[in-house]
Amino acid sequence: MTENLDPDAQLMLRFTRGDESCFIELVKSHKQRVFAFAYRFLGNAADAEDAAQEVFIKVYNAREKYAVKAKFTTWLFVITRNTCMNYLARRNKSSMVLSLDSEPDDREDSAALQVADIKDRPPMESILNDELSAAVKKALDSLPENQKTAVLLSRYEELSYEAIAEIMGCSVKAVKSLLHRAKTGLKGKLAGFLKI
Amino acid sequence: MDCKKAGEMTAGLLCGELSDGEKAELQAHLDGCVGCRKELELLSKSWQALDNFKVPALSLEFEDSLMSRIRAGRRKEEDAFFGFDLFGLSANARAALSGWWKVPALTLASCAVYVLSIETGLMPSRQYYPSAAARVQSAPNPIFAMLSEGQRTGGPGYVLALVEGADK
Repeated sequence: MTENLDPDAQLMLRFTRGDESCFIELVKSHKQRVFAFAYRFLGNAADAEDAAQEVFIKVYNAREKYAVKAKFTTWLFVITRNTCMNYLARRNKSSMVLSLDSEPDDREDSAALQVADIKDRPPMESILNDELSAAVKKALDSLPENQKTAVLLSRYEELSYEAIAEIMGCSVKAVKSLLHRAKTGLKGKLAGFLKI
Repeated sequence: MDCKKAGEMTAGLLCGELSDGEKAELQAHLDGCVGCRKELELLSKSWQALDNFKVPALSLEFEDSLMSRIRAGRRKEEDAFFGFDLFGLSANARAALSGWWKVPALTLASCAVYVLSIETGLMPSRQYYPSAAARVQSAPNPIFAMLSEGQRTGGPGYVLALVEGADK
């Protein structure tokens, strides 16, 4: 029966039987994808790394009750999405109790730009890319969580609508609708940065 | 085809749902409508612009750090006993003390088995060790006497003296 499984699910099954090297192999194969999703979801490398580790700890702890019900990556992204959502909720909760004295990041950035020497500035193309990158980040952050998840899984992970629906626990039709609304939203936010 | 219908078909086009006929129909509208053409181009370009969201490299310590967290979690599980946790101790101290509770737990479990076996009549009663029980009961230091009788009579004698001495 295990012959028909995807290789990652086979590794996970071997891990459930006690072969810890299989877990290491799974971490090596998927750490970058999990981290990338978390980074784009949370927008911060330190948080993303912490969340990615939480994901693999959950995988490790699930070894005794793991059963193959879907592709391993589908299961992994369900855990990743839930972990990122919990992480974001925890972060938002803790940021509410932070002091209001701190200045917004934008102001710090603009002050830093003012003092920067002109000769140290990167070429114009690089500045434009950085601006676009920041705009993309901001545009994605402005999307509702489910639209953002659908975009990350579709655009960056290149998962099928069926796989995304399974991860998000909704229908394929709902995924298409989420993606369409997300694309329209992104278009509105990024129009000023795009040359048409 | 009006622009509203074209907008709906554009969504279908981006999801890869249009048939060849529908694509041709949409293309015919786009050829004559600058506004819709621009909309489609914006949608397409904004989707492509997502490529600019680069992800930094994952730190080289990721796996080591992950395995440390997993090992620490396992130690914490081992150290937790009846809801008590060796909270606040350093990792080295926790490692040194890991499994410390197994010795007293084993002792407690053994005592429980002994007591149960006496209570259920599995262990020889006072009639088999009458003199040992009497000596323990009359000794000025019962604990010392119990240990002493235990050495002479073996395990059952010691426990018998202990239990029956306590009864009196």
